[in-house]
Amino acid sequence: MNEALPWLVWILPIVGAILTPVSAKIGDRFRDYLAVLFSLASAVSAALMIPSKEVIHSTVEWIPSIGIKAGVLADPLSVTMANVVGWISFLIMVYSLGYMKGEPNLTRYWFFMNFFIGNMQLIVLSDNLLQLFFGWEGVGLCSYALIGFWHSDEKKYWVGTPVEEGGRKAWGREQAYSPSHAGMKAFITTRVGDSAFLIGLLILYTYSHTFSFTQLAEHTEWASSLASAGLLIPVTILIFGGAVGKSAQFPLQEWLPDAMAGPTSVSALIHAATMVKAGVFLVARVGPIFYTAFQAVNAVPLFFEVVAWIGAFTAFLAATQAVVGREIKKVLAYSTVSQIGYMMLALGAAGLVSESTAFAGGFTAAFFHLMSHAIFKASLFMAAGALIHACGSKYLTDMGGLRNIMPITFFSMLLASASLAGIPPLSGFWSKDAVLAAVWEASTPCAPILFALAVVTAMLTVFYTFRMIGLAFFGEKSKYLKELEHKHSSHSEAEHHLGEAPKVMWIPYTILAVASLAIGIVGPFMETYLHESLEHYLHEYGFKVAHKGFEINPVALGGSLAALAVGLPLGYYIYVARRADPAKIVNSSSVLRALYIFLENRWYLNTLYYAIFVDGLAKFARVVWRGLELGVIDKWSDAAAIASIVSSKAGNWFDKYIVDGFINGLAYVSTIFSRVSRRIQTGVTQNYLLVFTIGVVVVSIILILNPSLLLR
Amino acid sequence: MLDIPLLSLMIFIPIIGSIPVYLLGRLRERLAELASLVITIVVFALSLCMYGSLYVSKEGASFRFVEGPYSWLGGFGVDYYLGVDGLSASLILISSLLSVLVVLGSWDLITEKKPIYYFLILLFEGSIIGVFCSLNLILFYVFWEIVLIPMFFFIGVWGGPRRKYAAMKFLIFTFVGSVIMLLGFILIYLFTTPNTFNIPELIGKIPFWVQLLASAAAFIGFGVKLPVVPFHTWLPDAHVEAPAPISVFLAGLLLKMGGYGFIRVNLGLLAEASKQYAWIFIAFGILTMFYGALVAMVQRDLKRMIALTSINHMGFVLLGSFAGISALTAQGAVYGISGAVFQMFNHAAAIGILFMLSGYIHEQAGTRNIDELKGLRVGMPKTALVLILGSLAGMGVPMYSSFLSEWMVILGAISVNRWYALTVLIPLLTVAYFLWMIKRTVLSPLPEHIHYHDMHNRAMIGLLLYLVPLFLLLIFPSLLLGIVDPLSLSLYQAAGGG
Amino acid sequence: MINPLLQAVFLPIVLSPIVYLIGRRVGSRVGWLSFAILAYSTLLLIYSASISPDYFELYSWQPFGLFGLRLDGLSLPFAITIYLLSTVLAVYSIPYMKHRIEEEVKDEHAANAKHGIYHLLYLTYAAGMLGTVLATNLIQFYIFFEIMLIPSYLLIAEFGYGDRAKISLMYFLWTHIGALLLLAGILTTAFLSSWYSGRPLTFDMVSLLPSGGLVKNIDTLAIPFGYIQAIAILITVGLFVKLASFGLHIWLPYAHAEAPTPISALLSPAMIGIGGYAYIRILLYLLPSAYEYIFFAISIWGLVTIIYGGFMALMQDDVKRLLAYSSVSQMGYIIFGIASAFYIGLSGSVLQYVSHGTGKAILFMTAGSIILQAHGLRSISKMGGLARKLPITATAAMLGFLTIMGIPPTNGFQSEWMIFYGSFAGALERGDLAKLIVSAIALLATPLTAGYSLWTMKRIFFGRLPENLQEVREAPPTVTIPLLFLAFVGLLIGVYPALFTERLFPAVKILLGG
Repeated sequence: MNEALPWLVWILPIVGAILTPVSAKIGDRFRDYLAVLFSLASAVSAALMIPSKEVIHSTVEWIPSIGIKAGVLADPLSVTMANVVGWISFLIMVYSLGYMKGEPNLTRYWFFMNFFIGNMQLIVLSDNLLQLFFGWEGVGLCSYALIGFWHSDEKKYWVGTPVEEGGRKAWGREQAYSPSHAGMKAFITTRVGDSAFLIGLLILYTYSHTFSFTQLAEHTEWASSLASAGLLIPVTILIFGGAVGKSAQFPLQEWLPDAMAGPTSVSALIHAATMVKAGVFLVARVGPIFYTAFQAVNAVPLFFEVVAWIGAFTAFLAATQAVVGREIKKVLAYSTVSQIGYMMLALGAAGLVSESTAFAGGFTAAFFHLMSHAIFKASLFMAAGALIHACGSKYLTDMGGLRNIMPITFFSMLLASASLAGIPPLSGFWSKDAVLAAVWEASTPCAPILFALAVVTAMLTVFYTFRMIGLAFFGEKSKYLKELEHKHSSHSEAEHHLGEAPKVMWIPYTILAVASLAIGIVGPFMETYLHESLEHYLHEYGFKVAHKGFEINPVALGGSLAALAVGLPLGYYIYVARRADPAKIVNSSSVLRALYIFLENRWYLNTLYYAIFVDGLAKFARVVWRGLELGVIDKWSDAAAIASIVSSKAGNWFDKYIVDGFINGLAYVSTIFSRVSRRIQTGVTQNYLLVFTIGVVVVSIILILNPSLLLR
Repeated sequence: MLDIPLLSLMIFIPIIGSIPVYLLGRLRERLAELASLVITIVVFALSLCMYGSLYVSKEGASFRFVEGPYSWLGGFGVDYYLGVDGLSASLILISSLLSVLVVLGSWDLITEKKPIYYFLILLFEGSIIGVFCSLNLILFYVFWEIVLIPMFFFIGVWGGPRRKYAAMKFLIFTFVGSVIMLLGFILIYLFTTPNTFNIPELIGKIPFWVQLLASAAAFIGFGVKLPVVPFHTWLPDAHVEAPAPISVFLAGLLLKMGGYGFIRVNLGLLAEASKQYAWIFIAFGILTMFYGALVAMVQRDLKRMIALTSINHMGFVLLGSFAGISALTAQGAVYGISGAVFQMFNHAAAIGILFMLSGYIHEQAGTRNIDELKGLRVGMPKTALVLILGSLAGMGVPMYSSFLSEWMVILGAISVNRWYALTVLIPLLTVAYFLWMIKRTVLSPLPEHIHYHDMHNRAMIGLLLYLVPLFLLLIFPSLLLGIVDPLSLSLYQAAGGG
Repeated sequence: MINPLLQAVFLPIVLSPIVYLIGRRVGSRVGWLSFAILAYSTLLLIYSASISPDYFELYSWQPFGLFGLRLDGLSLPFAITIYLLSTVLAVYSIPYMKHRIEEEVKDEHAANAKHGIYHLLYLTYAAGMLGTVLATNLIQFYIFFEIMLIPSYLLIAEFGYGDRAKISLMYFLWTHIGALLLLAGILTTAFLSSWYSGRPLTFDMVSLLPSGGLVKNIDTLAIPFGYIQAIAILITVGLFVKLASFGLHIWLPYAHAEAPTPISALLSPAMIGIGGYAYIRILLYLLPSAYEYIFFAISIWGLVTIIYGGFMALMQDDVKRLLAYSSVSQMGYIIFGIASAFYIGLSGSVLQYVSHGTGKAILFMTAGSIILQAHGLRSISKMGGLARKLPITATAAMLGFLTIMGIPPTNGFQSEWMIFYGSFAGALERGDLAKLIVSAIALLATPLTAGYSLWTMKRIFFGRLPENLQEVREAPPTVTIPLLFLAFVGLLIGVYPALFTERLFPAVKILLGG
């Protein structure tokens, strides 16, 4: 149907972004609403793409001389993704109206928010890797700019616990970062992944001579030539490197927790719902292509092994860290990393199936989990933002007993968390279940281990989710909150009193929470629908289609239920019912204490990276600077100058004393001449006469010797 | 062929005219200045006509405006025999041009004994034009020696504190050199048939052994003038003592006599010997280039530095001419020899402005010591500007044709041996010490106690005139090379190459 | 219009004395005149480009052959960049040089004269750069190559900061050594090619076909390999001095840091990159076998330069020195692209010149606007939080840094991916694993650029604002408008590189004999 729609989806927000500085001239409220309007327009045009059954693929010339086209590809995958992104973004934009109220420099905020949406949709809808990379770096830029939105770095905006607020140091390094630092960290870390991505991309292009997904899928000769060059596996894994960076997977996961220095709306949009999913989306995009490529050259699908393992390990790693998180946003960030790990795991599992019909299973699972996670995590973040707004503190330990004060927030957060924890019948349950099923069905020797990791992670997830809920809403108010209320009661006019968030804020996240419930209720049908449409989509990539109805994998179900059975009571007992004091438990045994610190310091990975890549390189640079640049190269010019001057002096000395000295001897002889010349100027001419005569004499002598000359 | 004896006019108008100028000068000195200016301008106009007709006819190789041979000292083959080809024409042109400029410059810089001074100037101009256009070796020698007389007096009378020493040193060197040269000529005369001193008749007739001895003699004679290291030591002293305009004559014209001699006699008459033993001359050439540049760097006296620069530049002439005659390809030869001629022309102009400038600086700052000259950029901006422009001409960077001539010479050298390509690095030293001098004098901060007077605009324009031909020839090199190239080619072919 | 290219090159030179004379009267405002001249010349360039994809004008320049000006796909990006930057910076010079000269000269009349001199040299400099990239004759090329050196030397010596006397001397000598080595290479090439091919000696790189096209004129195939090697080394070293590659770069930080900022913004983006152009135009075009012999070595050299420049940039506290070192690193990319031995890689480094041109010019101009607004402040450690005081400058700086980091949608990304794609393709075509690995390392080194760029952004524009900078105000429009204009150009090329590539790719392909 309408060719223009996919273009509109990503161009509209960018137009909105460019208009922002202009509209800001008219008025702040106008600017804000216009920005939101544009995001809505984008979302609507995304929705309008759903009815179209056939794939929309339209291209325009970009760099004709090497046949590179720009284009959009709206197939089931991208259309679904575009809608998820579009609508969540819109809701978060609405939420920002309330959340960012009264902030200065909002023009910058709205600009980058819209610019982000545009670039994200560009990633989703682009039909070739190069254009995708444009969006890829674009969202990275927005993330950098928005993490560092409060770039004046006041302490209250820092992420992590500064030392003066009783934060712990790891290896003598403070674990708190300013917004501008966090932004920089995010950008550079993802940039590492991106360079890997670019290497893979360009080598792939060298063989395929096309960036376009469809052509890559149609003509798979590139696969065989790559394989014969022994580059197929490296290239695929390098491309996956980009996903690792963007989706904060191990070993590049460290930037995401610190990205929480940005405004919560930003964290919700970029660092939970959309951007970090770009990596997953990329793998979902290229996964089938690679799978068919591997099939074509029947190479071992090592790529999917790597994806699966990185996913599983990251999921576990982040989940353990989330267990001890003090800041609500950081807990959510860890949980995001962990959940994305799930998706990667599912995608990896998808590629590890024995026959291509089953590929759709893991593929769907990953995508389903992506959707449901995007929804409930966005809702959670926004709710968390509301909490922070209300309490004026980012620490869970500063909250407590808020369920009566902020009932709506409590309700929606409970729903979303339940979904995150995978409690039936919420969407999270189904999607996680599908993931576990896919892992179990994966035909690889180490599938059980992966499965076990996934289950353990699920258990941890349940635990930290309820820890968060408990700490925030149950028990009695924390000391901090009591003081706060007392302060407010003391001055009659409170600048912001402890209470429910304004409508414009709570409506969006409640909608999302309810949505996750709704999707959960129709979970199975949703999954089948996705499965079918994605199978249809995969069919175009040459996959065989086996219409299998919805069935529940008993092992997977057992796993997730077991996780619930372990995690839920524990979380409830300690944090909701508050029967036990976690601090006491931890301090009871030195092992637990050590473990606690180990987890709180993120397994010391963060510190390790800083030691190597920041201090190490800085030291190296300093050494080179002192030793080579200043020590050697800088001296060259002067050395050359001195050398030439010295040799010149030597030459001059030679000139004066050797050459000239010899001559001066002659000059003394000539003092007679000079005396003469001093007396009579004409003396000179006499000399000439003298010489002439000499000449004549010589001539006559020769004539005498050789008279024949005259006799001619 | 024109009826009027153009060349004789150009020789004798100044020589004859020098006497009335002197007499006028006795009446009022100003008159001497104006009169000599008029005469030099007339000569310049004549030389322009001569050059123009040569350029139009494109016959640089053969002699034109030939006068004679009229028997002079009958029996000894000594005739009055004049003619110009591309080489002579270009040198005559620059000589007459420089004479005009020198006269102009002298108005400011020469304050005493003006009548006799302008008398000598004209004498010098006439005789040097004689040198460049005489086709008889003895005539050539006579003019050659006459040139010495005014120059000796210039240095001895108008020179600086050590003028006597410098004058004598100059005289003895050039004189001994020229005597040896004369012996060489006589040798040629005796052992060649026909016995004549007329250059055109001698070409290709001289036995090889005579050529060897003669070129040895000529090497000393011309080498002293050029000057070739180690015969150069008279030059710095002479320059340091001579007044600025005379330094212009010295470096601009007197040295060219050496170059002219090399090309006219060694390349023209003694071609075979030169071709065979070119490597000796080339070696001396490179030595001279390098040595001049190297020694110049640490000179304190600005003028001495410039003098040594001209040694460096004249090394190119030697290298170019002999690389050309022994070149492997005709084009190499053309580039070498034409490059040498071109280099002489450019050097005359470039060194002219620099010496004049040193004179002005000495006059206004009271010193030429580079270490004492400070902050000219602020103190005397006009002088500083001219100094920078002049230095750029001296460096041979491609803002002026001096660059073209230098790389032409080097290209000629390459055609003899590929590794001569690295002689491009020799000008680097020149650039280095010029820029260093500029750094110390122009760009340094101005001390409080010093107050300079800047030169007035007329002087500045007079100096910038030197740069006009250099600019012109950078853009239209064919103006000169058009008539020099055929000459170079014919010389090369006469030497049995190509 | 008659001979637009001749006008474009010589109009600024011819009019520069007039500009000087007017400058003596009106002072800094004469900048508008030189702006007008350069803008007109830029239009002439665009006009000539519109006539034909390979537009050229040949004039007789006996006895050295033809004095040719050629605007083909290869020289077009360079020419446009050079004149665009010169035009924009002419405007930028007005406020900056006013401030700079007032620092030194109090007297009204003397200051005006200085403005005149500045613009005289400025115009000559710009024209010299243009002449270099348009030249078709080796000697002509060399002449322009030096003509762009001399005015810049004088500009640094006359208007620079710090120990300008010493630094300008150093600058002149270093680059002059390079130029002379290049000259030696050129002369040897010209002579040997005629000697071994038996054709008359010529310096014309191209000769005119009866059909009206241009064809390669110098035939170097017969030259023995020993000479080829020697020439390759001569030319490479000579040009790499201009490109400030590792080991030969030391003049650059001094010159670029101490030059008056508008000149730094021409030196760094416009001038040194011309070395890359010369490398393509002379070594690749005339001596393909020499290129085959040396390209791997220079790819290593480029890699070292990239990394070394990046690390040195990390160590700098003076903002202009930092930018200078980052230029060293960026030149490394150009060298690397040239070494790719694949047409897209070479075109990549041409585009790299363009993108570095826009990006680094923006950065130097922002540095200048900080110097202007914060009264000569250059030490980064004394800055911070300036984004609030100088929002436009900060935005422009961000875009500039994004450009040199190669982040879409800036044109930096286009050049980056082309360079590296070309490098990979060249390596894989030859099955050269070492080259492949080198390319991968080079690409993995790009985060280094991101590192120092963002860290600099953070230190200058973010964080706490020092007390002494509280009253800093945004720069006047004569500063900010040029900034935004350049940023816009960068984005335009970044989004639609076909503006250049459509002519560039075929040209380079032919040049590589493919």
